[in-house]
Amino acid sequence: MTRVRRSVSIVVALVLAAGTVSAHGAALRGSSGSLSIPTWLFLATGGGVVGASFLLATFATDRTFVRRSHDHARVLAAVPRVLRTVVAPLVGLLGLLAVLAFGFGAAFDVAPADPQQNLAILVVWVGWWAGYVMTLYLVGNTWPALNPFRTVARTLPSLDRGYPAAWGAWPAVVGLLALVFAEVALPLAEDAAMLAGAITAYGVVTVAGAVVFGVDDWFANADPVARAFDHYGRVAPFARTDDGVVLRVPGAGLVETAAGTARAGGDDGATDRAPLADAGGVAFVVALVFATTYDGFVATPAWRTIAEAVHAPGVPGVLIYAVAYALGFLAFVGVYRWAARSARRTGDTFVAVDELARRFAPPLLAIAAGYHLAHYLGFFVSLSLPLATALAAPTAPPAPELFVLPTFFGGVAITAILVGHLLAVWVAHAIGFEVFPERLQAVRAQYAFVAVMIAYTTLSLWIVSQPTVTPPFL
Amino acid sequence: MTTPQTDVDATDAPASDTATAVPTSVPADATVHECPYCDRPFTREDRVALHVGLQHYDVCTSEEEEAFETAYLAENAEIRRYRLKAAVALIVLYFGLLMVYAVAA
Repeated sequence: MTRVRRSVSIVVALVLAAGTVSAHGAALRGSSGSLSIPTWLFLATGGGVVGASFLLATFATDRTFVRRSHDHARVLAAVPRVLRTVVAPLVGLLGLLAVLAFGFGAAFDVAPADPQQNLAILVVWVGWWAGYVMTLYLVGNTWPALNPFRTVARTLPSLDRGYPAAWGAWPAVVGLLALVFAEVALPLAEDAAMLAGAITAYGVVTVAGAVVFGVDDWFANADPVARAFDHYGRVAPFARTDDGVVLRVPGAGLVETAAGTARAGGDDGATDRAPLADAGGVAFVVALVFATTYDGFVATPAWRTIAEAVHAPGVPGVLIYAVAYALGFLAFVGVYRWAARSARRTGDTFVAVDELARRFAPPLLAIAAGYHLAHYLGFFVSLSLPLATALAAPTAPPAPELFVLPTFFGGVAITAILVGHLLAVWVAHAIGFEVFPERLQAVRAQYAFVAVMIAYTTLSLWIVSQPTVTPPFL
Repeated sequence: MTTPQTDVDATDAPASDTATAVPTSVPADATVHECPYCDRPFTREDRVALHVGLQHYDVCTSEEEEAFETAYLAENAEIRRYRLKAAVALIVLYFGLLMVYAVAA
């Protein structure tokens, strides 16, 4: 999304120069200008809020109360079958076809090439990656019904080789890291044809995987997009089950995920199994958090300074990005492992480190959701106008205009990050109570996880408070 | 702790299948207290009592029920002390930030 933000900023600069609209697509990033306190104090306050919320959560030691906070769910009516099996797949297929047509069309001059007018770019980045993903964690996961690649794979004959259990979630980890790196390193938000090419490549791999290993197994385990969306859906208040749609407290799905009793979230029985059953599943959650951070980090002035210093002696730009990417991911995994080991010590328990890492991973999803909202809400709102005009007149949209964001949008970003962390603190508290028989043991086991959350809040708030610059050498 | 029923395995105990299937790793030199129903190892005897009361309440003996209640009440006393410390930490955090704001902003 760095590319998208950058192109938005460029358009904004042009529009500003023309003096027509004073919009600011990267308003989230520009919010630091309005802060009247020093940055370090702003960061310390953010960390302090998370720490204070942990201290407050320790006062909730009534097991019945903690359990009720996540055990309460109401079953609503089932999703109409026609909506789930006909309408949604058709919408997904139509969307994919439109994206491919307008993406490749841009290369042959039959579709607008301007990123702010091209339907493919607007639908993918604004409609899908920003807007639709928000509905996943704010409402519920609808991707299994909508996913066009799933629809295509279902119509094809399956070879039904059993999915190798040893692979677990690792193909999804590799896939997610590859997709995010491609998004950062390639101009996928400017070049519509390249975007369509990337979607085609992803589609071929995905459909082939689903044909070889079975649709349900592939999308439940190895597909990075389906897995990420399934995880986001676990934060949401609604979930589809065999009994109907369940309404639950936001975050309750995360406690269930940790316990391994999560209800089937998908279209089938394949998601019945615990999604974080292996180390790969934990690595995937960490990768999800890391990917968003990296995406924001490479657009900060600090990264520009570092990259330029390393680039000076002649190191290729892409290599700098790749090494920072790999090191960053390993650092995130390492810090999380440290927290899990530390939890075993402070919690004075025999529960295995792997198990602690697995149990306390779901709260990170609330953090990832909050961070996504912080990054993309302003982006989505300001670009929803070009998206709407492109949808209304796809072949000849009028000159792009952006919604002007009110200044309080910077506050929305900060609030989203903090709310995500607060939810994570509470979910971790509830998970601790499920794992440990002694209540203080549950509290003490969370020390390292809370420390990591405080550090991560500080890092995220710092990135959000920095002005957005164009990542160099790309 | 006595083992009243040896034929009860973890899968027979309702609502305990997930909580008792917790993978553990025990250091070689550690003192282990095992749950008589699901064999989950614990570092302390009172934690076994708490665990049995929470996870195997429907199958446990009346002595175990009593041990659970004793352990639970003992926990409450310790929690009260912990809450005091947490309250102090909260106050220090709040007023600390307040002071910093007064000076820096």
